Amino acid sequence: MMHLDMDSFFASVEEKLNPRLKGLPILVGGTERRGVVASANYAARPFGIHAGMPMAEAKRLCPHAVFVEGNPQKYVHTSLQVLDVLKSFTPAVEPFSIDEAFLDLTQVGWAGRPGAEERDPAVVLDSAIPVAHAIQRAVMRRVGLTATIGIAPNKYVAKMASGVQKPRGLTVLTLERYREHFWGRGVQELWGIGEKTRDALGKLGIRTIGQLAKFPREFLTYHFGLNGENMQEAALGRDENPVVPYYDGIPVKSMGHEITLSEDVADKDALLAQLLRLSDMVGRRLRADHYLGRIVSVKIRDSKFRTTIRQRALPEVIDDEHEIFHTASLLLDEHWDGRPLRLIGVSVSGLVSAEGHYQHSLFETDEHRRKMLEAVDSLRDRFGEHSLVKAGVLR
Amino acid sequence: MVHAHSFPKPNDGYFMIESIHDPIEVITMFGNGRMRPIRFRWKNKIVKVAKVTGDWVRHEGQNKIHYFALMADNSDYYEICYNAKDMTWQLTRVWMEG
Repeated sequence: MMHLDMDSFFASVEEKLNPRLKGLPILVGGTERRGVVASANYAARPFGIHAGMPMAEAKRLCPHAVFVEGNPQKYVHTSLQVLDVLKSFTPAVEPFSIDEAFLDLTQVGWAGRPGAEERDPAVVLDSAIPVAHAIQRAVMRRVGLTATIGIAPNKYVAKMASGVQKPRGLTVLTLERYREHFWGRGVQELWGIGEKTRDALGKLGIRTIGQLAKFPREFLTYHFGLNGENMQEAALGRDENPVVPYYDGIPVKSMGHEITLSEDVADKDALLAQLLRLSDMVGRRLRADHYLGRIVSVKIRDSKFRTTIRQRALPEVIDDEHEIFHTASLLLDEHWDGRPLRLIGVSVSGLVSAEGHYQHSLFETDEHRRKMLEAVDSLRDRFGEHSLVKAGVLR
Repeated sequence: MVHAHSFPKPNDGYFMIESIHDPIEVITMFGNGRMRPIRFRWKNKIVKVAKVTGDWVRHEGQNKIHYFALMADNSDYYEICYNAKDMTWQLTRVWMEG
């Protein structure tokens, strides 16, 4: 398995388009006053800047950095070009995010690949190094950008391997090398473990990945449920998940949108207007991708970064923004204590395919609403998302 | 409309990227199924395109807006776009040093 990670992707795209940025520290992010750094190039990193940091803090650390407003269309265009390159090596490519992909090379032959009789995993994995170099060269030729690659027996370890050496890195990890390299390190270095989980593991005396790997599983399951088992498998470097090729699609578990408000908001009407806009976006996506969902969630984060997520299961599956908004506004009523909020979000989960569901409407009003939604979607398909906007959003 | 993002660089003036939405006139070459801006007029100034460093498309409903990243012959950087619906060009972003 191979994991490819484009090096500081958004910033590198901007640098490639505008050669005058070369060598300068670049921050890519939103224009909102409280936006965060989406990508920082390697010239910005010695200043302590990293993706996800508030833009204001990044500017303070590196006042002479060049700020570039992010432009998703640019990056998606380049990402699709990279995907084209990867597909020329193997059809088993799983785009993992806009700047990452997994490749399964098990069904691909190349000069120097050992036969099936070769039992030493190091020999098998090392033989793919020339393929990785060829991919890096092909990506550079096509889009002018560098990429880092990890090679390993499974997806999880390949992802960990690509983080070992960046940029333009290439790291091969057998399970043995993975354990040698990572077991002495802190658990927070595991992909998927954040500060809260690190602290919770710390309370059990688990500080390193090696300790997590050797901890009695029943205790982990007792404290963390299924996640405990998954964390230990990760620490052991075990992962049975196959590469899901781009043409198979990946099952969607939930759809949601959230927004960081330009300033803290305690005005309920203003928050409801945001909920309406977000519910509209979620409903539109559900219908466009032919999904219905049963669980509506609201996420709020206050000015002290305390995050609350509350959800409600509905008796019926839905894709109608009016119903999403209705449930979301009830959740806000029940769980918001009036403190100023910096972030608000809405999502729908428990998704099922919409196929066949629409034919069973019992009431004429449902049919009318369905037809109205279809008409609105059709107008937006033709004239763009902003061609129709709900009056309640215009505040 | 102009929106500027600039941070001072010690002892070396300012680097600026400005978001602009000014109409421009563009001479364009069509060939090999692609279009390529050759030069454009912005505020009565003619800008000669030395290199197209990239292009991408934004969809707005069924309409397509074609974007081009350009280096001018004096090394200035511009982003311009062509709106296929009303056949108009706009300057959307410019990189200035000053």
